Formats: sequence, C-alpha cells, structure tokens
Amino acid sequence: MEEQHPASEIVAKREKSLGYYVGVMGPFLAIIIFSIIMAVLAPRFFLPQNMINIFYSASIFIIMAVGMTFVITGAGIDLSVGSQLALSGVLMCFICKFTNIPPILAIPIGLAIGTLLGTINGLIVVKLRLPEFIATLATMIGYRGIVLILAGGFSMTRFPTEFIFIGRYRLFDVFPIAILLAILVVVVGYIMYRYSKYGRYTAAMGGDKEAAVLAGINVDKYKILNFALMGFLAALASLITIGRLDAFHATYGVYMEIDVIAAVIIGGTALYGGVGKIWGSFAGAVLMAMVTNGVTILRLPYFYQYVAVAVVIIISVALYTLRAKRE
Amino acid sequence: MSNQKPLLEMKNIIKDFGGLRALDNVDLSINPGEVLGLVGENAAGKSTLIKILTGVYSKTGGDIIWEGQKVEINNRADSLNLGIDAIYQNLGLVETLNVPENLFLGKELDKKVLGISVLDNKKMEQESRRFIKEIIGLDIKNLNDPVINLSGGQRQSVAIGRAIYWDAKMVIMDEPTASLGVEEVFKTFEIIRNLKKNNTAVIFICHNLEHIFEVVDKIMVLRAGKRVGFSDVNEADKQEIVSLMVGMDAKTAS
Ligand SMILES: Nc1ncnc2c1ncn2[C@@H]1O[C@H](COP(=O)(O)OP(=O)(O)OP(=O)(O)O)[C@@H](O)[C@H]1O
Ligand SMILES: [Mg+2]
Repeated sequence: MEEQHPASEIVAKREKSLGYYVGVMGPFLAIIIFSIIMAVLAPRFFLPQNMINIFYSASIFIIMAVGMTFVITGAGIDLSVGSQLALSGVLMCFICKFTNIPPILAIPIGLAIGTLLGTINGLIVVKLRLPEFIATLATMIGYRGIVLILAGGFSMTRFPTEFIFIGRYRLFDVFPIAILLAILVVVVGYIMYRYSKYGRYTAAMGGDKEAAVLAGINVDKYKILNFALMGFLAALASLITIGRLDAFHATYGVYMEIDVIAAVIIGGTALYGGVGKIWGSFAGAVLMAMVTNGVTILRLPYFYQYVAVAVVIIISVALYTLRAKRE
Repeated sequence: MSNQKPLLEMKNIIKDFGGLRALDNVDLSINPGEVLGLVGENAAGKSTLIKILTGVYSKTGGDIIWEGQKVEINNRADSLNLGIDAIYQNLGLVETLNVPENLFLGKELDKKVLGISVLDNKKMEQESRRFIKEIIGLDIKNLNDPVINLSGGQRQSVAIGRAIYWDAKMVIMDEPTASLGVEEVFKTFEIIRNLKKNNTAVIFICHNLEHIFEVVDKIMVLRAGKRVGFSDVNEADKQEIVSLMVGMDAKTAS
C-alpha cells in the first residue's frame, strides 16, 4: 500500500533549493545580469544621470505594477490601465486649463476620478458578471474613446506648478521625488499585502475563490477594491506622466497594459492568482525600464525594445515554469 | 441519548432548482456529539441538503431549528456564526496559502501598530504550531509552505483542525475520504472520533458503506430527494441500506 511519509521527511525534501532562491531573487538577478551585459556594451549606462532617468521612467510603471499585482493576485486582469491613466489625466488637465478650480485641487479630484474608473471596472465584473478580460478590454477602448473625444486633436502643456510638481520636482535639482513616491507606493503596497485583511483575502480568493467564500470572505467586495485601487494608482501614475514632460497627449498610456502586466509576471506573481510579489513587481518594472533604456543607449531603433521585452518575458516566465515543475 | 435535546433539526426541507425538486420534504435530526452518516446514490440530494446548512443554497421551503431556535441561514457567514463548519471534497483550503493563513482565514488575529490594526502573522504562526502539534498531533515542520506541498492526509488534518480550533458545534464532511489512501482514511476516522469526544456533531457523507459503518452512530438514506431511511447504525444492515439507496424496497421508507 501507500508508503507513509513522516511530515519531517516531506519538509526535508523541500529544503530551500537553488530553485527557491532563483524564484525569490529572479527579477533582481535578471537586473544584475542585464547590468553586466550593459557594462560591457555601453558603460554610459551606469552614469548616475542615466540611472536616475531609468528609475524616473520606471516610477510610472512601478506604481501601476503595484496595483496590477493585487489585481492579478486576486485571479484577475485589468487591460484598461493605460486608458484609465489617460482619462483621469485628461480630466485633471481640463480642470487646470478650463476651470476656476485651484490647480492643486485637480490632484485629489483626479485621484478620485481614477478610483471611480477602476470601480466601474469592478462593478461591471462583479454585478454584470462579465469576464474580466472582456470587461476591461471594453473599458480600455471606451475610456480611450472619451480621451480622444475630449483631447484627440491637440496636446496641452505649460501647466501650473502646483499641479505638476509631483511629477516634475527634483530634490537638489537632481533627484525626482516621483522616484520616492514610487518607492513609497511599493512599501505601502507590501504592507497591505502582508499585513492587512485586504491583502490576505485577495490572495485567498485568487488561490481558491470557492474556499475563500466558504471561509466567509466577501469576494465581490475585494474584487471591486482591487480594481478601485488599480484606478487610483493609474491616476497617480498619470500625475507623474504629465508632470515629467509638462504635457498631456491623448496617446498617453497606449500599450501600457502590456508593460505593466509583463512587469508583474516577470516579478514572480502567479499569472493565475493566489501568490503576489510586490517587490518582484518593483524589480520587474525596473528591469523593463532598463531594457528600454538600454535599447536607447545602444542607439538601436526604438522598436528593438519590443523584441528585447519579449525575450525578457519569455525567459523569466519559462524559468518560473521550470522551477514549478521541479517542485 | 434519546432524551437529549437535538443540536439541529431540519423539518420538511424542500429545494427546487427550476423545475427539478432536488429535496422533497426531508427531515433530519442530530444530537451534540453524534455522527450521522448520510448516504444515497449520485444525485440523491446529499450535497444539496448540506449546502443549505452551510448557506451556499437557500431552501425553497421547510424549517431549520438550531439548539431549539428557528434560524435562517442566508449565507456562509450566518452558518459559521452558528458554529457549523464544513470540510468539502477539496477541503475548503486555499492551496496557495500556508497553514496559519488557512487556519485563521476569515478570522485573522490582529494587533495595533501606531493605531492601525495589522495582521499579527507571528502570533498566528505560533498559535498554529502549538495547536497543530498538541491537538492534531501532527508535526508539520514548515508551516509557512503553501498547503499544496502537504500530503493529502496532512491537508485533511489542517482542514479538520480549523473546525476544532474554532470550536465548531457541528462539522459537515462531504466525501472527505474520497481521495485518501488507506492510512489517511484511518486518520480521518480517528479525527471524527476526536470530534465526537469533543461533543461536536458530525455529518459524514460517503459512498463507501464500509467507511460509514466504521464511524457513524446513525444512518440516513436519501433517494431522489426523499428521505427513505433513518436508523441507528446498530440496527441497520448493509444489505438493507443498499436496497434503500437503489430503491428495491421502497416500502420500508422512514
Ligand atoms: N446548482 C444546481 N442547479 C441545478 N441543479 C442542481 C444544482 N445542484 C444540484 N442540482 C441537482 O440536484 C440533484 C441533487 O444533487 P446533489 O449534488 O445534491 O446530489 P448528491 O447526492 O450530492 O450526489 P453525488 O453523490 O453525486 O455527490 C441533482 O439532480 C443535481 O443535478
Ligand atoms: Mg455530492
């Protein structure tokens, strides 16, 4: 008959293997390997100015990736993040340009709008029972349509300082506070994931929705919260996007869902839910920014970055799959 | 035993799914510390009956009386609040979460940090370690692994441990032995006997009559949504139960 394994033996078999560390450190390891390659090919990559640029552009993706980590951990997906960024952005810009509302107030209003756009996604999924892929594909197109209706024909620039300082201000004229904001979002996101019921229940419903319901968890509520948080963070990322260039254009955020989802998956969050890696998403977003920057530094045409990103995604997901199989 | 006040009585329970009557005036009664075996062919209505108790389905008609009081169970939380826990075929564990996370799921311990309440992961881990070892008698070294890495029997122990830890008054097990090896089945029996000692009532659904006769006090037979038999296990004989289940001797009905 079946052999009985004492519990200790089962555990011993799983003593932290090399694979385990690759899993935890994977995206950070990839950053190091990529950096070594760049050190050989283009030492300019390591200039402090360039490093700051990388993290500056990464900060937008880092913030969005934290939100997407919760969405995906809850066994969901949000394709509309780029459109949420653009729509909350255009409305904030309109407040600054075409109303008497003090520009500083455009910020909280914009964040509220982003939260609302996300909540609408959540309600469509929960109340109308649409698959998330379809629901957010529809709002991706719909939100973008509104942006184009409002601001399709022109771009806006020269915004009031109070409005753009979050995205633009640099400490000592060097270090963008947007980077600090992104790191703050990661830290708060990590604490929420590890130490709040919200994080725990998101992981539970992503791992096994039925079991979560049986434990008395209101999964619909947490599903909506995940989308709402995603919308809020998309609006926050929008502030940085607009501030960085002191401009708004209706194409902001196009294809962004690909980069954001890729950053999360590279970071080790399980694509089908249940296991989230907030710091992994941080590293994933940084890696994506490095790859994009590397393509520029090497003076390759920008479309090479698509190929490079594809390679990074395939290698990292393949590594996780191989590791999962061995266990 | 018979002069004891029942923990749970279900009276004339009806459940319709559209045109299909899945339960037709079913009665059930169980005392504290009693193990009731619920048997019947596929689609007899066993799972439906217990899902009404766990708040997954709402009944079409009939009454539920819990500790002498008429109650309504509208959702899972109502059921948990009464003290009804359930262990399903998939055990109701979230496989991607670890042992403490599962043990405390939905009832996490927290602590205040700077006035904000945060999950007390350390306390939950210590508490799980102590409980799993002392009460369940399991020595799981790495509690922080996702439970998918545990053996079937260990997972089962964690699921049942959760019910014991939270002092369930009644535990429902829907085919808990279906996917277990021989040793693990015996372990399950042992745990059921422990629950009984704890004065916890158990409803045990199982297709294997050997298993049923091993642990239950009473047997209830469902056929096509009707209760066709109910007896003390000592007075029941396997052959008779089988004929009730398949309907060759409908006259003996309840
Ligand atoms: N959600 C539902 N919607 C419609 N019909 C249902 C639903 N759940 C159960 N039924 C029907 O109710 C009847 C009883 O099903 P139930 O699952 O209770 O049977 P069971 O005795 O548990 O069977 P098994 O031994 O196969 O688990 C079946 O005819 C089934 O098809
Ligand atoms: Mg069943």
